This record gives sequence, structure tokens and C-alpha cells, in this order.
Amino acid sequence: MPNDENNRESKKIGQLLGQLLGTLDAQSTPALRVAVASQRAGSADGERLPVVLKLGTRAPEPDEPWGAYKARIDAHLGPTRERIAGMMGLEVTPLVAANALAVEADPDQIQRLLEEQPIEKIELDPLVRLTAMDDAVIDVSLAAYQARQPGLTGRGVRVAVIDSGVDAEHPALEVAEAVSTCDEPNTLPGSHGTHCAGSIASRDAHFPGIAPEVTLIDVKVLNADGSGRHTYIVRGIDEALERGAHILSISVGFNQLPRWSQGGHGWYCDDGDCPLCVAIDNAVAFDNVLAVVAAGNEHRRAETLRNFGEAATVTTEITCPGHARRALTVGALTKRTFLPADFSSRGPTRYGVIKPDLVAPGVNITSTVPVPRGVDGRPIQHPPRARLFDRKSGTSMATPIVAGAAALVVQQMRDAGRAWTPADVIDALQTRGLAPIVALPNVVGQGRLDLRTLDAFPPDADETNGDGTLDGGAPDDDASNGGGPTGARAVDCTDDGPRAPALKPHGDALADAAFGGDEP
Amino acid sequence: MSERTREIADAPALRSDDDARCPQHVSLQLGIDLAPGSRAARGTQLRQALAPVAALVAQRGGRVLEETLSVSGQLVEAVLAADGYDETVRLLCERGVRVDLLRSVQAVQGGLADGSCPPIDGLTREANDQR
Repeated sequence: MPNDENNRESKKIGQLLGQLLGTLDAQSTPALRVAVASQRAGSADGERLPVVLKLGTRAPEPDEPWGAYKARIDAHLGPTRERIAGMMGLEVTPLVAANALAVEADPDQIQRLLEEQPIEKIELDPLVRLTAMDDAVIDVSLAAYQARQPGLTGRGVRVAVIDSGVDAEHPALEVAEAVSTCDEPNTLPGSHGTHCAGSIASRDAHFPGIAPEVTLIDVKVLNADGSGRHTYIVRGIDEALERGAHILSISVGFNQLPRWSQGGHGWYCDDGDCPLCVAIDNAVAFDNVLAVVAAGNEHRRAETLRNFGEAATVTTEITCPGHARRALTVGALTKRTFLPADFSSRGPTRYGVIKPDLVAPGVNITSTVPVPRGVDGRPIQHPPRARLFDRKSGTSMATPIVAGAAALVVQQMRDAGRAWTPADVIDALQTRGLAPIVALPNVVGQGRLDLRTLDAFPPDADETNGDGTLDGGAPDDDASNGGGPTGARAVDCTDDGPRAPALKPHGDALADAAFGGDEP
Repeated sequence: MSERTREIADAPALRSDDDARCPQHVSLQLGIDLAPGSRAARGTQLRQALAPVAALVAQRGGRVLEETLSVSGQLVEAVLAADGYDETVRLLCERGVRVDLLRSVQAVQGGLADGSCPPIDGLTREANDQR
């Protein structure tokens, strides 16, 4: 008979609760039990677990008003509720619509509750975080990261989305500042820019961004159709710096494929010294911003050229300014299967450095798109949710995911009382925020973004500002290191302050670009 | 057409010549080593370095648009006269200035297939995509 009782009791235990109790039994120290309970169930009080006690199903009668139904269920729940409260001293909350009771109880109390006859099922009531921007957040282990570092939302971090414009009318986006350096005003937002912004900062309940509380700066450098000049982008970087951006998210670029090929821009950047790359290098070196930049989507085009005997025309697949030494260059991979996206640009750079630096989900990413406009050009009222979100693919989509994660790291460093530099953030991401992936480094860099192992930062007394400000400290040294992104991003820190790497004078190569690289 | 573009287009010295050759709107990147300092200080350095370049361009019938100076990119826009354009570019390159023609390209890195402009309500998705 004891076995029958055990079976009956075990049937009463819900699946989630059963798993958790099994884990707790396996732990020996109280500290571990507290930690496991807190993390897995979101319990605010040590080992007391939030559970729901189901007392069967009682559907409303036909035409039964809510008041009558509530009174009937209250009467049904009342005796059990009072008995539990009196017997165990627990605060019991009725859940009328579910014909259930909610309590926080420790494992021993749960065992005693199993003996209560009216209770048919006891299930864990875990704290669920609605961080489901997309299944991409599963791939980057955002929930695990936020469970260990609660309260990280990007608050106080200023992120500039340098793109085709962000729709400030979108209900899920809060644009703090907006500026345009292209032909169009910010009131004509691009789908691409709005999508990128949403991956970082969407405040929607079901499709939130990685860091929804960042201060979002819309720097519109391309027309809504995605077209623009390199000077627009360079001036946009200036505007972002003028507005105190901490992080630049740049999902645009000029490729170096020949202009006669499909989609080829004919851009020229021999040594990371084109205007786009110089702008990034200067911004990182002098202004202490982190520049997260897309690697480009040129792999398929480049392969086509190679297959048709034009391999010599493909000098690099990495687009500028992702080609810059100090850029944190992002490639794309598929979700769940972690395969490099077939379009994602492969390295190395033209000057021989391995890029991209890392990869992140960039295929079929769901995020915000501009609110549909009426024929008068104004956003329509109360559009269907289905038209406020859409899926897109590209290294463009992987980039804001990394930028959002970087914003969380910056906030985490600030909360720990540490000053930070772009090199610090990159170092944190690359040493502790990546999972290895079986692919060549010129395809996936040092790995895929995975925040699972990114732990807390200990306070650093030597580097602390003391006021929790976000100002970066003095950049690291060694400007001569031109290898990986961490080293490449290091800045010569002498008594005179940081210096950018020397820019080479532009000679014949530039003449080639001006004369040969452009169509008449 | 923006005010600046209109101004450029209307400049008498920069109109198409008798052979219908057009002046070229370009960017000039100053290949100098910037000393550390604030953005304003670096801007001053760049303006100083720009002065002889602007003089050269003006000498050859063009004009540097100094208000477009980008401190980060060490970049400024200019219009080079069609007459003697090749020689002007050669002289600029000799002074360590990179010259790029300003062209508008599709520069976004993904997501274009779904349409880039805000859709107009009432049109089908196909119609919006064709806009």
C-alpha cells in the first residue's frame, strides 16, 4: 500500500515541480538549494517555491455570470485555503478562474500538501521572462544570462542605429534622438533600419529586443530604400558621436566586388584606410565608442565570381566599414543549427586579418518594421500586430543582436562600478561571451555569441570612476597590434592620450580607385 | 534636390562645359595623422590641413564644401571641375588625398527582399514591394 500512496502522490506532482524537486534532493548544501530554487523558479524567498495547487476543473455553467461563478469557486476553495493557511502558516492566494490556489512553500511543506485530498495537482509556478524577441534569444542564451544578472536591460546605454532610419511611430520603439545625414528626413523611416533597431530596443511584450531600455539614437544615413553615399555614413558616425553614443550599430556597408558584377559596389579599401574604415577607427580610438559592424552578405556573389573564373576580382568579401581594424565585425549564422549563413561574408580582410570577429543569429530574425502608412503618408491607427513585425535575414540582422548584447555588458560593467573601454567590452564578449563553433575562423571568427558563460564583473578599484558613469577610462595600449579585434582595438595610451594608428598616405592605389574603380 | 546640391548645380563655374562634361561631386579624404585631442581640436587640425587642398581645388576651378567636413572620416565633399579633372585628381593624390566619386549604392546588408519603404495601407504586398 505505501507504493500505491507514493504513486498517487507522484501523479499529483507536476512535471516542472518534479524536475525541480529531484534537483533539490540531489543537492546537499543549503546554499545550493537556495541558489537552484531561486534561479530555476524565480522564488524571492530562498527555498520556498512558488507552486499552484489545482483543485480540479470547474467550468462555468451555461449563462452563469462571473459574479456567481466566482462565489461558487470561492466557496469551493475556501475550506482548503483556510486549512492550509492555518496548518502551515502560508499565505494562500485563490486563483478563481483556474480553480486553484497559489502558495510559496518549501519542499517539506509541498510533501504535506500532497496529502491534502482536494488537491489534484501541484505544479511549479515559475517566473517566466518574456524575452522572446525571436528564437534567436535562445541561441544566445539571453534568459540564462539575465537570470544570473537580473535587471540588465541596457538602461543608460546610448546606442546609435546608423541605418536607413527608425520608425519613431512604432509602438514598440522609443526613439530618444533622431538625425538624418541623407536626402530624406527621419519621418521617412526604412524597413531595414527599423528592423535593426527593434532587435536591440523593441519594448514589445512578445518581441522585445535584447536590451529594450537602451537610449536609442536614430541616425539615418541611407534613404528608406537602402541607398546612400559613403559620405552620408561617415557624417552619420560624426552625428552619433556628437550625441554621446556609447555603441554604434552599423548594418550598412560598401563591398569591394567589381561594379560590373551583380550587386558590386566597386569600393576600394586596401589597408582599412578608406573613409568608412578610418571613421570607425577614429571613433573607437579617440571617442571610446564600440562599433559593431556587419561583415556583409557577399559570399554567394563572391563564389559566383570565383566559379566563373573571376576569383582575382574578389579581393575580400568583407564590406567597409566592417573591414576596419577596430570594428567588431559580425557574421551571420542560422538559428538552432548554428550553420554559417551562405550569404555571410568570409574573411580575411584585404590586409590579412581574420574577420568576421564573431557570428550571431542572422537568418529569419523577427523584429519591428515600420507602421503601415495611409495614402496621406501618416501611420494608420491600430494596425494589426502582424504588420508591425517581420522576418529578415542578413549580417545586418546579426549585428544589432551583438550590439544589444554589448549594451548589456556595458551596463553590467557600469553596475559593477567599472570604467570601460570598447576593448573591455570586446574582450568580455570574446573571452567569455562566445561558444566555439566548428568552422573556419575566417567564416565564424572566434565563435558564436553565447551569453551563458558571461559572469559578473568584479569591481575593479583601480579603474572605478566611483560615480557609476559610463565614461570609458583610458584606452589600452599597444596600437601596433593589428591582429585580432581585441588587440587591434587597443589604443596607444601615452601621456598625451590615445592615438589612432597612423593613416598611410594615399598614393597610386587611390588613383586606381578614382580612375579605374568608377564607371564613366 | 537639397539646397546644397542646388547650389552646386547652379554654380556658373561648375556647369557642364561645351562638351557636356559634368563637374564631379567627390569626397576628399585627408590622409594625415591626427594628434590626440577633443573632436573640436581634431576638427581644427583637419581644417588647417584642408586649407591648401581647398586652395588647389579652387585654383583648378572647383570648390571644397567645407561645411561637410567629417572629423571621424577625415573627409570633406568637393566639386571638381570637369576641365582638367584627371590632373586635379592626380595632384590631390600626390598630396595624400584620397578621391572618391560620390555614388549612391544599395548599402544595407540584408532584408531588402521584404521591401524597404513603409508599406502603404490598402495596397497589396506585391504592389508595395514594387514601389
